[in-house]
Amino acid sequence: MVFRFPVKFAIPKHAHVNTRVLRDQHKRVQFAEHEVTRNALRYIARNTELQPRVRLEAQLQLSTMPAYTSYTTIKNRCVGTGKARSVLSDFKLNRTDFRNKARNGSIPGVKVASW
Amino acid sequence: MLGRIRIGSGFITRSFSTRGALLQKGFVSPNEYVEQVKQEKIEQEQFKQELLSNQIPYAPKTLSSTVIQSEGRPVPLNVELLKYKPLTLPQTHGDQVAVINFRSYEEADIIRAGEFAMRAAYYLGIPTSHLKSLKTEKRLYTVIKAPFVFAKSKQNFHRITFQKRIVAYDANPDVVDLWLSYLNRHKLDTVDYKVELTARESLNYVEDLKQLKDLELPKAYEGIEDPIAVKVQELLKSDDFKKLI
Repeated sequence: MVFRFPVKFAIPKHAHVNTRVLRDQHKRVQFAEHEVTRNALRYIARNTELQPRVRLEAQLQLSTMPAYTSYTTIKNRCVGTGKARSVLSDFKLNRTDFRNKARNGSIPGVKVASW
Repeated sequence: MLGRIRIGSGFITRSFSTRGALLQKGFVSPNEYVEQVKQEKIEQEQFKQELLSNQIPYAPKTLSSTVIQSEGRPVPLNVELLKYKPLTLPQTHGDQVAVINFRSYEEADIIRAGEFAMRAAYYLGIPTSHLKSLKTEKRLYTVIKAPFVFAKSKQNFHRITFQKRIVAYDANPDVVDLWLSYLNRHKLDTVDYKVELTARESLNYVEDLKQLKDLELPKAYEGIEDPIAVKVQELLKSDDFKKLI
């Protein structure tokens, strides 16, 4: 069987795992790995004191890097269910999972509000 | 100069193991073991006799004449004082030494932690301010009740974070350290402690530092160079860029 991702990486622990979570994890790992390179290339491309040829080369190298090394492809996902929609960033939980856990009393400090 | 340490969330980790001690002991023969047990018994008996012979006179300090009915004894001072607001010492110079910020979702816990800190400070001779309340944070979370798309019925949740602070004055750094380590030992799990320490140096502090010959900077500061700057240099020296410059 062919490995699905271009590089191998550790499966995230303490989180719900499904295909989409793994896909996101791959992007996170790759972004972390290439962050310095991307920023260095961006610095060269935007530095007006360098020659235009050098800046163009940096810009080309930046644009030919794989999309999964870019931060914009990363999406916050629910730790409990792996869902991507309506994730509360304070708790890293999807709205339904958050509600279940909050009603259950398993999120410290969160209570049902009424006024 | 300001330095920060955090004592709420297990920043300081220590490990302790008794495994090594057991290994060093090795095996004991049955006869030796019997001897050991005998010796221990004798020591325990001696200790017991000592306690019985020099009895400490019972003379507790008391505040009120309240007597616990079941015991027939007055309430000890330290227990009685728990009913009252903690005592504070007057400031001598008014130099701020440390600030402790408490954060918690439970107000009762924060008061317990704060008053404990103030009492400890009082008995260590550290003048403190009273337990001052800071702004309470309240975050609201409104979520759709249904797991599916029906967005009309919602449910509100909130999380309230209470904050309080104590300011300590006019104490030696050693005493402050002792105080903080005591608080760290008896910290509450539900309260977040954050301490801001203030240290005072003479005006020629920098010159004094320069004159020190065997000055070693902390290892944590070693090799702090911007990784991006290093990478930029590396890239510009690479073959792709060399031919363009």
